[in-house]
Amino acid sequence: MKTPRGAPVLRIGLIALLALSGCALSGCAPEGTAASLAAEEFHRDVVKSDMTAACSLLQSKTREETARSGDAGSCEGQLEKAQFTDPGKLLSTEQYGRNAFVEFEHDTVFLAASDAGWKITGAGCTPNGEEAPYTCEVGGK
Amino acid sequence: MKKALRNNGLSLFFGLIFLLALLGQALTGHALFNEEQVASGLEEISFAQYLVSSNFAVDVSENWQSEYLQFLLYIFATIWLVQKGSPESKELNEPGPESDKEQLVGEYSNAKSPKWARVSGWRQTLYSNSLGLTMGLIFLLSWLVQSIAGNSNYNQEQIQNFQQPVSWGEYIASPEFWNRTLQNWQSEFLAVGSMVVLSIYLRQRGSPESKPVGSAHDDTGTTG
Repeated sequence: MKTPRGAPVLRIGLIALLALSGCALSGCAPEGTAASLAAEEFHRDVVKSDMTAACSLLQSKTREETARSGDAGSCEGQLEKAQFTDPGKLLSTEQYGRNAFVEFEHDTVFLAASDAGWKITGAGCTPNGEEAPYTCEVGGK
Repeated sequence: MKKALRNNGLSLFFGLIFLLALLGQALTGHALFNEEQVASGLEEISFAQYLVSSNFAVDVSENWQSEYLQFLLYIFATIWLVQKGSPESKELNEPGPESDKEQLVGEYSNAKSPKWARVSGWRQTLYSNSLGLTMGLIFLLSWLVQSIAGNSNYNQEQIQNFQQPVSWGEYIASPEFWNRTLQNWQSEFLAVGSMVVLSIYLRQRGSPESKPVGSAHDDTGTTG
């Protein structure tokens, strides 16, 4: 139907569509490379045995669950006991909205965006087949 | 001003309820998204952040694409297919694109005909199909946006569940993409099909979408 309002309505619709696709392409959230920097920093802290710093990079719920998960009684103590391997080289970072997936040669790290930047929800994670969730040393399911 | 409002009442009414419904969807979608964030131990996001999220984008675009597909199919199907007794159908003996005389194009155009209907060649062909092409273009763009935003939204859920994200190619072959798509398509096809059939036997006095109340059930292509 061609009405005097037809053209502006169509233009607004197309602009909305482009805005929506631009948003979807960018992932609509903080910079993805910052996620891989947080994951690398976590691994450096673990290698230096600076578990306080490593724990500060965990997402709050993950930190609490880590502290509760074993008999160490604290997040730091639990990280000391975790079996982290050398992650090797950074392979890829995938960011979707407020979630990121960082792959190293020998490790995978899951992150979520927060007001304080990217926080780790799972580290030391290894795959269990195509569909199943990863098994993580810290965080995860 | 008053006359302009009256002359454009239909488009203004639907424009207004569209904006109100979109605002309602955004507000309730934001509330629901944050409920799920809290349940997963993640931080809540602002309304502005939600408006540019793939979660909102996929929910909007999946409905848009199906609506435009519905009208696209209806525009093209009614060229060739007829339904006896339906005001939504052309007369039974008129399937096809019809003659230039009936369509008022080229030499049969009049002084008030749009410019591209008066000329011949590619401009007349393009203008003759402009409604269907525009609907088709918006459908394809909306579906593309649904696939991209849906892929991003799906991968967010994958990562939250400590699963591997999937590529766009994998996503458009996934049950999630086709379930979102087909659940919208089936409802649109049902609505159009039932309108075609119900309007054979039922009437709405004064509506051009209905036959006149006293029309016979087998009267085709008449509107009241």
